[in-house]
Amino acid sequence: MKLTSTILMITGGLMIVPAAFAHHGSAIYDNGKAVTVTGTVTEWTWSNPHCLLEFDVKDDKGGSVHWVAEVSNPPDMTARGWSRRMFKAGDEVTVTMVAAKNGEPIGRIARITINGKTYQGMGAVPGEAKQ
Amino acid sequence: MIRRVAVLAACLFPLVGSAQTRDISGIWQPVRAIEGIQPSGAMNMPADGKPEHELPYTAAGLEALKKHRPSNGPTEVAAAEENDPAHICDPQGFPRENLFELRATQFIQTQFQVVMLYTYDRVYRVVWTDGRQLAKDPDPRWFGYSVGRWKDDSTFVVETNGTDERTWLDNAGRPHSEDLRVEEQFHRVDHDNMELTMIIDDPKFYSKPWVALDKLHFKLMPPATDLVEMMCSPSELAEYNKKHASRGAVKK
Repeated sequence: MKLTSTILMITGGLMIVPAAFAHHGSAIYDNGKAVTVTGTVTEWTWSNPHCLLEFDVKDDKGGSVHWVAEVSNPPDMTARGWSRRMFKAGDEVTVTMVAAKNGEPIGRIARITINGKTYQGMGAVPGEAKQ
Repeated sequence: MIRRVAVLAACLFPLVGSAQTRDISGIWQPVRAIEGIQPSGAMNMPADGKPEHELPYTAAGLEALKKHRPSNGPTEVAAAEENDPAHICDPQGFPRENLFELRATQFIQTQFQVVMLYTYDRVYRVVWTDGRQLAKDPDPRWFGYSVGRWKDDSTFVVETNGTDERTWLDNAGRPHSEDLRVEEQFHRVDHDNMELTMIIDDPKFYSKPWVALDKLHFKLMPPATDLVEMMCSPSELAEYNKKHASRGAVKK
């Protein structure tokens, strides 16, 4: 899948072992590679087993790609400073995540920036030291 | 004046900072959250592929293990291909309640019971302390049958049998049979600290007992702590699977 130039692919030489993914594991992800995109939030679901952020990213053909990216459950994310009201439709976000091996636009968020503030998601960013 | 206050405080709160006697009541939370969550299986024996964490399976145990397709551990599969019963919101049961998503837990102690209120799925266990013995051949239950006794003034020992073998031992899909017996040792180190050691004894599936938790460290929370809600909701799970998990398993 070819995406817009706003996508930065960072390939880490080191396979990062993800932190706690309480329910569902990481088998679907390419855990050695981070993908960073900037897009517009369409929906934020604050629920178990994992919270989901949906956002659209413009591609270079004038269309857009609809991403669905997960983090952990509400109690774990509350401990990381996240909340039920932290995103609303129309917000611009820059998301660093690991993406599915099969090319589907789904991912697991390692870091996100909204309104100039950055939050840690789940696990380290591949290629970066664990924080 | 300061000395008087100190003396008064010592009289009013004599046990603060010292070991409690035959009392584990209160809200206890694992000091390190990850040690309670245990995403890769029992904290002391995670399914990480290391030889020292290999469990002593019997042939029947290995056979049972092969039927489990966990979404965590070395044999993990994609979320849409796994068959973890807890992922369709079946009860986790016991001992998995202690070996996955173990979070703040409230212990209520009465004359006849110790009741444990778990955060995950808001389930509870009753440990009888009225002197009864475990039944010899009970009908299986999700959380089994538990009896407890004080080994000494600071160590409460719980024995459990009669568990339902449809449940998994942990998040890595380790199996257990109906012959499973579990021993928990809750050792109150001092007023604010407690350790849990848990031993799995299932001769049908494991050739020898093994230690699933070795002094898992809990801290005592303030009595007004409001436990968070963390439920397995079938409708929320279906939405997650539809929007996310099932798409990750699509072969391309």
